[in-house]
Amino acid sequence: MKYILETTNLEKRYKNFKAIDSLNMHIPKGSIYGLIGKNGAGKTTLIRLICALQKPTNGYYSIYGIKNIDKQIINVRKRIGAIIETPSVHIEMTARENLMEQSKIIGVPSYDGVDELLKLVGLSQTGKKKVHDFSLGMKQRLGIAIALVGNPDFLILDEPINGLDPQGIIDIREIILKLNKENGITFLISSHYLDELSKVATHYGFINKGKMIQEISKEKLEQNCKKRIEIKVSNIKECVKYLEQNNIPYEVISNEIINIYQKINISELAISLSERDCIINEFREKEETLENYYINLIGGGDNV
Amino acid sequence: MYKLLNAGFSRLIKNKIFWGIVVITVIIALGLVFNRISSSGFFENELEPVLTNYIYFIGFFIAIFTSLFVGTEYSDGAIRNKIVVGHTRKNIYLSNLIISISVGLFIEFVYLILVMIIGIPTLGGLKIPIDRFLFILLDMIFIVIAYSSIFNFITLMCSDITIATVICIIAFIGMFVVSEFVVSPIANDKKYYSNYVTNENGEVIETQKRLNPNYVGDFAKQVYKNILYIIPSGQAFQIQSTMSNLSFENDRYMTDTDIKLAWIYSLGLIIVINGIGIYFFNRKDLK
Repeated sequence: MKYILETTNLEKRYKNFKAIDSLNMHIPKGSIYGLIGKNGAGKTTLIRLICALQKPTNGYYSIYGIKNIDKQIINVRKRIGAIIETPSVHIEMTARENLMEQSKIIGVPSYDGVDELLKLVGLSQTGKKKVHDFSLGMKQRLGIAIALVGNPDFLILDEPINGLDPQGIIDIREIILKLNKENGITFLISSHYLDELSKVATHYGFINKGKMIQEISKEKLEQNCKKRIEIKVSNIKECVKYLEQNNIPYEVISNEIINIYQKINISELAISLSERDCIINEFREKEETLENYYINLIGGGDNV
Repeated sequence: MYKLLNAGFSRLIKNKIFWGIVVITVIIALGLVFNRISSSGFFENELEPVLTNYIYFIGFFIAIFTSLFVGTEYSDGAIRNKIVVGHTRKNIYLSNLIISISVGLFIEFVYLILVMIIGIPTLGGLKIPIDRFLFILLDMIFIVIAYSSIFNFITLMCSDITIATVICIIAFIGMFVVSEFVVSPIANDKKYYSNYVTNENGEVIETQKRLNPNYVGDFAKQVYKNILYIIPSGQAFQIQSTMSNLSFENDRYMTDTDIKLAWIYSLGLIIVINGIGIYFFNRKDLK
């Protein structure tokens, strides 16, 4: 099984409004999948559908290859943990009591793993302190610990760093990276904090107006965002030959446009190409941030 | 389901609202027994009305508890959490219902046991035949289950703890008021009443037969009686009336047949409310 989660033409409609519109998504096993979209793009609705809090109007999704309409999906859900918008914690209980409560809900026979989880999220020193006295960051970390009870291998985090201070953001990031690397947990993380997401994500899904605009791996995205020289030439074949001969990394974008991913001497390039009957019509230096990439992708203007 | 109940009851044991209601129940039980003793003396009054007094307002406590306990599940995200890890909505609905019923029955029995422990040595034993008392006790159990079903339904449909609490309290008051409203015409069971004209010495010289303006007719009375039996608070009114007038059979006195009818009405209400509740909770979009 290649994908932990797949959605096929997923749709959620509220009366005449389509919150999710024929959405297709693929989350590879072991990845940290960053779901990027502005407020109201449909990120939380999509997560609610996947977590069975709401039912799709059309289409379906599969978790570990089991479709949502299959009765076996109930068993598969035991391998999932999630924090949707706010962490699900009982504020009148301590952190330990919350984890014990979750163990009972899942049916974990012993509380042996509770202390380990508290240590993992840095809450082992909270003792008898009730959750209502916790900071937002502590609640968020407790939420992750609760989601980890029962050793799930797929964690869904909806806006996990919303409202956190810089230290809180770093803490959450470190926990995510540790769980992904050491425990092999696959993550689906929705956020509109692009820079922060770019520090952990291995795959991205860009969502806008309920539609999946693009799914892309980190490597591909970095390549797309990398500092490059974009040239528009009259003879693309000759240009490619020249770049190949000189071991210059490039990517053909269209019949006229080539991206060059190396610092080059432009005068030398222009002379060499002209000797091959190839003229440079346009020349541009480009470098994109994830933010720019996203804005370009969704079309800018009213969409931003 | 077992996992949900295990988690729910362990949370219940630490719940302050639950223990607060238990303490209030104990205070009410003691207060009502001592009030009975102080008003008429030891062994001078019947124990029965005190035994069933609590069923009058138990609905209020079930409304408070259910809306806050189950409502907290919503506000804390616990319901969301249970669904995410694979519990079915039907099991979540039923586990909350079972906890609410358990609390209702627990406080009812705390009250009954306490009243019996203090009441039997001070007011005397039960005068009502034991089989008839058990009939009424079973009806009281049905009333508790009906109240729990109604308030669990409201809370799980509402999702907002504050709104759910307000609606549950209003629903209880509403049922109480409706019961009060329909009890009155049932109690006015005579079409005519006698008006006595007396002379200066107080001797009756003429008896006039006057039409009772509050008499609603046999059909309307039957309708009111049905309404009274459908509403849990209405049944509580009837039970209390019956236990207060053990030897006086009027239209508000529950015969054994009436009690069995009350069971059927309660059972019907419980099945319908929970059936509708599970149906809509299964389809509800949760946040």
